[in-house]
Amino acid sequence: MRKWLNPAIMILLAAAVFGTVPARAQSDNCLKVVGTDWASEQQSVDPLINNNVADLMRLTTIYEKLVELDNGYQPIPVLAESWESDAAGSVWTFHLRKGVKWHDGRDFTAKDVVWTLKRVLDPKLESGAAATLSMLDPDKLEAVDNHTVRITTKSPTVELPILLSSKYTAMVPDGMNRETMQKKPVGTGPYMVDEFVTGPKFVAKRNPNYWKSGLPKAPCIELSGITESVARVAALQSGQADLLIFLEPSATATLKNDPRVKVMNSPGGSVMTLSMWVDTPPFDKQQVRQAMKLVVDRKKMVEAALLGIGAPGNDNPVPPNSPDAYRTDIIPRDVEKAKQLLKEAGHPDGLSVDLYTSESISTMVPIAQLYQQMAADAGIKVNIIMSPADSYWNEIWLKRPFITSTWGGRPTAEALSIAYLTKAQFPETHWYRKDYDALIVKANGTVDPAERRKIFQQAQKLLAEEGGVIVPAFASVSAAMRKDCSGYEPNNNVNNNDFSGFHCE
Amino acid sequence: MILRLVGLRLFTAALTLLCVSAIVFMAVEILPGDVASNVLGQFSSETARAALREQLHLDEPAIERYFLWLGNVLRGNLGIALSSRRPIADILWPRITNTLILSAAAVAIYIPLALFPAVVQAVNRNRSVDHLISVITLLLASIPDFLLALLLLIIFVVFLPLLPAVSIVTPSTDLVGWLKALILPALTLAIVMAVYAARMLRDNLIDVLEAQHVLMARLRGLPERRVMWIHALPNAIVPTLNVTALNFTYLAGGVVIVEKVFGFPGFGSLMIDAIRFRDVPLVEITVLIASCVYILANLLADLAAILLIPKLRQERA
Amino acid sequence: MIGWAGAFGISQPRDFWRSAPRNFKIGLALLVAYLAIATIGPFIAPYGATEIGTGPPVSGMSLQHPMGVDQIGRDVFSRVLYGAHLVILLSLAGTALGLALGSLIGLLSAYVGGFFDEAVQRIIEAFVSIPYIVLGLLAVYAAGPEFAGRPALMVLVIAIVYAPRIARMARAAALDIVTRDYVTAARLRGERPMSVIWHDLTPNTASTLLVEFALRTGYAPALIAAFGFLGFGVQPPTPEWGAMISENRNLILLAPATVLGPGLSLAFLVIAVNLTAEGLARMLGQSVDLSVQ
Repeated sequence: MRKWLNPAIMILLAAAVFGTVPARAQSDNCLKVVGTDWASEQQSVDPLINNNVADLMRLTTIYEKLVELDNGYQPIPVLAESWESDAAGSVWTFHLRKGVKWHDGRDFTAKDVVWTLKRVLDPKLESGAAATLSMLDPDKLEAVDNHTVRITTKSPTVELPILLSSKYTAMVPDGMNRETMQKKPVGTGPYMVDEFVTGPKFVAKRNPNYWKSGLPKAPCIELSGITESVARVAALQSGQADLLIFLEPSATATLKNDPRVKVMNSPGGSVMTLSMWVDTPPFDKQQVRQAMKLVVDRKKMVEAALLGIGAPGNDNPVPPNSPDAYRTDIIPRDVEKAKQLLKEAGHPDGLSVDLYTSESISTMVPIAQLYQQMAADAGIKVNIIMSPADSYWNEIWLKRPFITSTWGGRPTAEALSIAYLTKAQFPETHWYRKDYDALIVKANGTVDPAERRKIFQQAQKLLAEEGGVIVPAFASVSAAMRKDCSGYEPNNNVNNNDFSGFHCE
Repeated sequence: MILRLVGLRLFTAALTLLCVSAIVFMAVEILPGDVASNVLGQFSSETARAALREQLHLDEPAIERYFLWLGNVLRGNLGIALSSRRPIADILWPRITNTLILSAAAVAIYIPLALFPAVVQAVNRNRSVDHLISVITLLLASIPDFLLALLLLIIFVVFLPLLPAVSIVTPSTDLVGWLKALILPALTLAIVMAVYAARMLRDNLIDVLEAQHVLMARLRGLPERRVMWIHALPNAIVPTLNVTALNFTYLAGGVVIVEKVFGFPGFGSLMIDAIRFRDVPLVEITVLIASCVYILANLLADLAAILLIPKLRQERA
Repeated sequence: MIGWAGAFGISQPRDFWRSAPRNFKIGLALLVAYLAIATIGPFIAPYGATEIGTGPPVSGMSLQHPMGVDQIGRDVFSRVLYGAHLVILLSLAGTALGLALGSLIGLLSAYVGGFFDEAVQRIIEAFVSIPYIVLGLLAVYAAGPEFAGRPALMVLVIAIVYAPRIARMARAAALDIVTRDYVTAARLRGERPMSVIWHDLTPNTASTLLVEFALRTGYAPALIAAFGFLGFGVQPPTPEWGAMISENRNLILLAPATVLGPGLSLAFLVIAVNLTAEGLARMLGQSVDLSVQ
């Protein structure tokens, strides 16, 4: 008798538990969005602090910017409906959208814009956009009336709207600071919270006053992160998640063939770089740098490291398929020429270099390993040093002469500036060239688009041929959702994230 | 007598913990990298970093800092975590409870999981069933933990969509949600622990079954099942108790991997994340707690062995 | 004075073999097979360990690629063959170092006794009570990013994790002997402590230590794999089995052979060493404690 009792109990228990497992995520109708990681303690609700995927997801749910960028890197109106500048490009007038309300019911007005931009520029608040927007003067930000803002820049800035799409410039209400935000963040975004609690999931409810009529369609959204790729993929396949963002190539490849799921890739993508310091031997000789670039088989990089989900690159952060690109054909691999160049530079027997990388961004590792193999054919012995993921961006990036790195897809001007201007905040290659700076400044001030494009192309050529950055490929940004979901598209720049239209049947 | 024994053990345990605190403090001291820039980020200003260093007393000698910290802890002030600026006591409680629940579930599953194969093997010793189970347990014991976790994940989530892919539990998760979230991580832990215990239990059972007094019980005509469960098993369990206690300590290490794979917000991942993010105060407290658990588990195992053996000695007579 | 010769109680090799339990024979056979593979592996591997472009990336088991092709286009089977000796070497070296350190500390502590023994015991307990993952993590971080991926660091980490546990075992084993007459005699004679430890204590604890060594070596590959999984393993493109399992784990649904290949190879190696160790333990009359702690 006793012998049969235990199994019986187990079966009953199992039935009770499993009987309630549905085919899809239920009991709450929240949309379940899952990212690649979730910082359990460092959770920010201040747009000025946006350090990880979890922050990104949370902030783009609560807040919105004046301007977004589409996949062609052209500005789309969001909280700013339209804008114009004077002939020189120094005085900009932004007309704000009317009828937008904050989560606490107040109206969105020009005063909020001024407050937000002042915060961005405040050195005490240490935002990452202070340098990119350094042409803004905090005293020259004017709230002309409730829905008009006038910005006078220190120097002509033809592409100010594009620069204002930086992730750090999301709009916050006038008077809110970090402490008040931490308790109850208030934004204009599609979802809102009554109070903020640090936790393994972030749940926000629909903003009933959201300005895009009819949106959002779901009553709430639940954000979380799963570091383990297999678990994340399994969550989507079994219906426990509705949307996965920022997928690794292996996850995308796994989900491609699953009929329950649809996969989407952005047309462009993140720039994958191998960056050398041009002022440090052996990279200080231009022939060495050129040799290092010539060993790359770019198509193979895309095929193997990115499993085909991306496009080859031409050693500069502007993708070859962009209308701004300086050349549309892909730089071919030339091992013989590389050897020749090395000999000219005084390394007839080859070279030995250390390359630092990390699993922090999963695609960096296969790229580093492939590069190692490709370079070996020309006698360049690459020694890969894997650094712990959590300290890579603090301790290795920008602090070693040869590293792997990645950048979100950006419009031409920002892409060419952010790491390559003399005063760039992130000088990955120690490329300090006055002639290059001059080209960028000139382009930024040139109003005629065709002329501007020509100057950008000159800058790209200079960077590609003489600079210290190897760009073997661009990695598409991938997302996957359940078959009966729609309304979300991955953007070339991971920072331009929009959940407002996402919904599932 | 027992009381004196317990008292002595507790005293040595306290000394050991003191050693642990010193060791961890020293280990964290020699970690390279500037704490201030790690916490505040690479682009933080020098003034902000200086302020943080002052706040953490980083400019004072390590010994002073150690005693300062120790004094605080003994008074119950566990300090503030660096990354989130939240009081450590607030962070700890939910995580510890989560992991305790997970461990309890793992132990609950582990006992039958270890018992059944061992009993089956002992009864059918040296026949093919015995060998088959031996091979399986051996194999399971030899796969790296995270691979086992991933395989279980795939089997029970992808191939047979029965269980949730992640075990993220929040304060709002209900009982059923908890049960579902616990099964995979607990099962993984239980399997790893069970395979060790099962082999030892099998051997002990066989030894006991062939021993004198069991022979006597059989001669007296008792049914085999009674022989097994009432006479043989209790005797075989005692030496296994030691292994069980040590298995608890496996939980401290193995739980980290399982929490990482299944995303369970427990104490193990808190500890590891603290180290990765150089959250010095949190590292010190969490490692101290983990050591405490180990020491207590050992203490309990010792005491249990002492208490049980005289009783069994009585039974044999 | 009992020297090394009688330490293992081996009189006749033939008796030794005949009386060996079956598990031991199986384990030893497997072990020999592994050693053979480790030696000739690199010569029979169809492709290089780091050779790219050997086949379509992320492909499954096939005649040409018995364990598939990984994401970068390398043949996993070849990598496993090349990696065999690395796993064995790392495990052996790490455990040996741990054994040397641990037994020295343990034996010394047992011999000296008194307050020194008490203090050392507390320190050993302290190290043992710290979860092994934490110890390993702290060690890897303390070494700095430069050394993060070097195999030598792995050896050190294994030694640090094992030494305290072995010290505890060694001390317990030595305590038995320390009170024996011949040790007291040696002490009275004025022999230096190190000499006593080497000539008297070590041979008599040798069998315990040997079993301990064998068991710990068996678990070492899994330990290395665990660190690889958490991100502190050896640097690529080193074909270390644990690192390979971790590297390829995202491909498990696309090409399971790339994960199961190194995974099962690792598992069977662990089985081989464990069976041998257990068998050895039984023959030497030791009780077997299989847990890693």
